[in-house]
Amino acid sequence: MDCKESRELLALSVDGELDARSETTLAEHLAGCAACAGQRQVLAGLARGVRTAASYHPAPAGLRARIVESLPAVTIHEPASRSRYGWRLFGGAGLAAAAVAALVMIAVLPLAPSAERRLDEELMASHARALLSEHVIDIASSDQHTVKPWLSARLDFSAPVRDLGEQGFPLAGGRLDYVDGRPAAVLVYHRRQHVIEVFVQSAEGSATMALQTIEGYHIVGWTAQGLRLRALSDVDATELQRLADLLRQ
Amino acid sequence: MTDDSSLSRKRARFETLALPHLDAAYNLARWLARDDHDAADIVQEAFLRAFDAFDGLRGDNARPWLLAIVRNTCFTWLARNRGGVAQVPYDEAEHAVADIEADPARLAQCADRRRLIDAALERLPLEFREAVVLRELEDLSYREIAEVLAIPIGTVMSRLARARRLLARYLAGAEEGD
Repeated sequence: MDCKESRELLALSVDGELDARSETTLAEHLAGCAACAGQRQVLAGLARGVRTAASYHPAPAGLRARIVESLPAVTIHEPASRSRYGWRLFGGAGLAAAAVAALVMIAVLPLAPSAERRLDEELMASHARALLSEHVIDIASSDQHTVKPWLSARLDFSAPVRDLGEQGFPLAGGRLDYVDGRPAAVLVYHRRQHVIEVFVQSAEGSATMALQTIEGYHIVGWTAQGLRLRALSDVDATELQRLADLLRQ
Repeated sequence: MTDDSSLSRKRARFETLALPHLDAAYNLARWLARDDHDAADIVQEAFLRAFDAFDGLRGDNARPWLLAIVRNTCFTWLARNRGGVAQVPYDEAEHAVADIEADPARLAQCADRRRLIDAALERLPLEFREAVVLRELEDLSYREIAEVLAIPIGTVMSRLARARRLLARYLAGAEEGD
């Protein structure tokens, strides 16, 4: 083992992630190399320093009770334990009206509006986070035959990956993300200086979502054939709609 | 309508599998949001989301699954309430494989090392801070961290390496400043 290999294994060794055989080979190298041995000591010291000295913040008293209180109630006679996700609607004298409202909602949307709104917010946050952290792309390629298998290997569904460069939306690559408690494939397209992200997740049912604008971002999407797609960007709304139409063809 | 007995079974299972990780959830949210009140609100919201998504949990190890939800809730919350996640720009030199120069072990002799280490951790850009908190404070394996952050294990390793290099630099700077 040379120093270059050794340096790559030091952190794994400190973190207890190295298999026994590599650990032995590394130890042999460290026995004869003061520089690598010193570096391991520094890494271990740093890890130990954080572990023993950094503040650990346990949950404050009362938070557990607050959470248990807020979980969906077993019966509708416990107003205090209704969650904030619109459950209040179903309480007390408004039941009949609420039932009508619920029927209307079910007819229009596959999800309750609050859940839909939460999803939009989460997608928006994920998009903003990716842009801010400059970590938009895990696999950079304009070749759909490279991006698609990379994503498929990591997900239990197959995202529809198409390069639309000829139509003015070149594919820049793909990313894995986690939205709504589940993994998502994110297809990244470029449109001039703008980044357009298309989040794909497996989903039941069939629905179309009209283009909306939230805090400067446009979002449009649909659910069909076992997949939910949502396209997000700060690009011009008509251009985003055009990409959505192209993807849906 | 959800059947009462199935809902109460779900609640009982949730309390057994998810609630024991409340401290971990709060610690992560607190380190990401850097505020006690916000962290409590975020954790409460995260547990409600987790309850909604609870049927999707595979296996009995709820910890990485729950922490992933806490983290996502945190980012949504920060985007909604603070207009985004502040990022500290880092220079490309951090990409280079280089030795850590300072010896943080010397911190062991330092009287207020908790303050120094807390300050260094808080200063870390978010994507590095979360990796260090999960690794050192929650003792998660690379695989579990990859699950929480939804990134490949190789990225976990490079992120931890860069996080540690930055930490060492901040700590060295803090020592010199004393």
